[in-house]
Amino acid sequence: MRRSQQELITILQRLRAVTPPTEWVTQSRELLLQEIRRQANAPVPAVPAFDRPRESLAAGWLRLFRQPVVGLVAALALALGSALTVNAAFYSLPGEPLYRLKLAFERTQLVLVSDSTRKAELKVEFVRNRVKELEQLVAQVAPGRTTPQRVSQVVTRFTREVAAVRQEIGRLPAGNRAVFKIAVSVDEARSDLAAQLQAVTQQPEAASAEVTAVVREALAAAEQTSQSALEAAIAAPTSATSSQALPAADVSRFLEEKVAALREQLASRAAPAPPAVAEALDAASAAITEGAFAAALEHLKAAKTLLDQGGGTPQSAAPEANVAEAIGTDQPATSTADGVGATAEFQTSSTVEPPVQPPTGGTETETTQNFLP
Amino acid sequence: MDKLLEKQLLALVQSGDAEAFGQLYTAYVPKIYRYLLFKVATREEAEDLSAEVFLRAWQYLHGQLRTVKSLQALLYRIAKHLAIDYYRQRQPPAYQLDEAAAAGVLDERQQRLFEQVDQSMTVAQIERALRTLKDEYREVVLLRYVEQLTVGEIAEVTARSRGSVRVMLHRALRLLRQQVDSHGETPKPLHG
Repeated sequence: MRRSQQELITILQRLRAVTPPTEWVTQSRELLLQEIRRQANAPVPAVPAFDRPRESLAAGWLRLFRQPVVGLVAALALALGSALTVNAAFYSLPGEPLYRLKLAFERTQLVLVSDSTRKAELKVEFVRNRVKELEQLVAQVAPGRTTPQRVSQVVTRFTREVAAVRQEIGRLPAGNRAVFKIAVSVDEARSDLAAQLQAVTQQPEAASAEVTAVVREALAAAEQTSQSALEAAIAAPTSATSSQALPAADVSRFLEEKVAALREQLASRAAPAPPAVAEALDAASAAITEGAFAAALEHLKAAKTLLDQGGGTPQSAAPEANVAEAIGTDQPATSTADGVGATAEFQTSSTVEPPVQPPTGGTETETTQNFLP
Repeated sequence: MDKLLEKQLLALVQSGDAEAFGQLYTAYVPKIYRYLLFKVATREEAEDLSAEVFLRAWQYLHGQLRTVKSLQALLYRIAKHLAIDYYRQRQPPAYQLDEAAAAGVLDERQQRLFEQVDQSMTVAQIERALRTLKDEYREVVLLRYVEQLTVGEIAEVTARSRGSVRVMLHRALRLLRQQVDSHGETPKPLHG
């Protein structure tokens, strides 16, 4: 049937009924206003002291990271007229109705932040949210709720978000402290993820070949991101201002913990490892003492590669055992400084991506300028 | 939105009034969202880009002494350029989330679109036909008949002459008619 031009126009005009979801409009409006108020009145964020023990140091950073989210959650509760809805969304899991809202909330926060360091910090926050989701999945006692599919969804999203952190690192200014914070935070997230995944292996109904594959990818991605952040922090030129300078004592402590974890792994092996492993670890320790962090990192990578080449854990047909192998649970969970995750330190992986290059063009800046009159 | 009210709000925005900007956001976000929805692959991307449009608009307006003749044109231009950046930067994801979900993305958007409009085959045909058009033709058709911009306003957004816009509208409608009138056939792309 041939349609007249007017009929066509009438049908086109019906498309005007397409509108954005009301919830999203409300949520994004409040986030936008929060962000523009923040940009207008941004105080200099307090830099956490680096002389605290590592546990409270991490807690301090997490508190710093969570502050923007707490404020935004309050704004969102006001906008939606229901703190209960916000809380429900915040604790929702894959497959639940409000999970989509939670992810949209995270995405909108990210879009509305222009500062690259803050973007990276937000992305790390989202990585940690995935770990919390996995923790909740593991804690759900009712059989059938923690399915391989749900575990796989969370872990896959973790992998994607940790890769996004790695991309963001390439855009960060040469602020050694901020990048180092990110390296430590991602490393903690990886350790926590490994610990949660160990718990998953206790639930055979949650572990499967699919989960094994995504677990390997997730841990490799997290390891790579933490490593990239650490390399970037160490490689960046030393800032003249003390507030941004690389915290040498904390970097030393972080690297020494890595060395200790690998030494424990070496000591607990049934089969003897090549002597070069111990030599590499000794060289790493010496380099750390001298403050040569880049060299220490290279020695650590070499030691891990040699350890991996020296023979892995035995293969097993059972999915839960494959998951255990992927996260390195051939040792008791309490035997290492980093817990279970220590055995996955500096793993080489077939999914290693090329180093992130900083953007060479000013596409976004050029684009912004293009619409000037 | 009333032009005088908009002018007053813009003056407040330029002096840093976030609430005034919020009112402008509420008034214009449906238009910008719709515009972007026909340019990107998923509703989520349309939402993200829409939010970014307004953040950039704020950054452009706030604290500046610029005279903005048309906020609408400004917003559409920002959206247009963000969409261009989107096409340039789009890379296949390093980690595939869910192939079934990824494959169904366009269908999901189409389904949501129809839920909001109606279930008639004519709207479905229009939406499919629009997708076959060259981006610049689709853009002028949507701006004119869905967003109800004048030819002059479209010319300003697209940086073309009014005559050029009229010619494009005429051609785009002709092509759309050809697509819609083809009886149930899968529309072939008319222009790359």
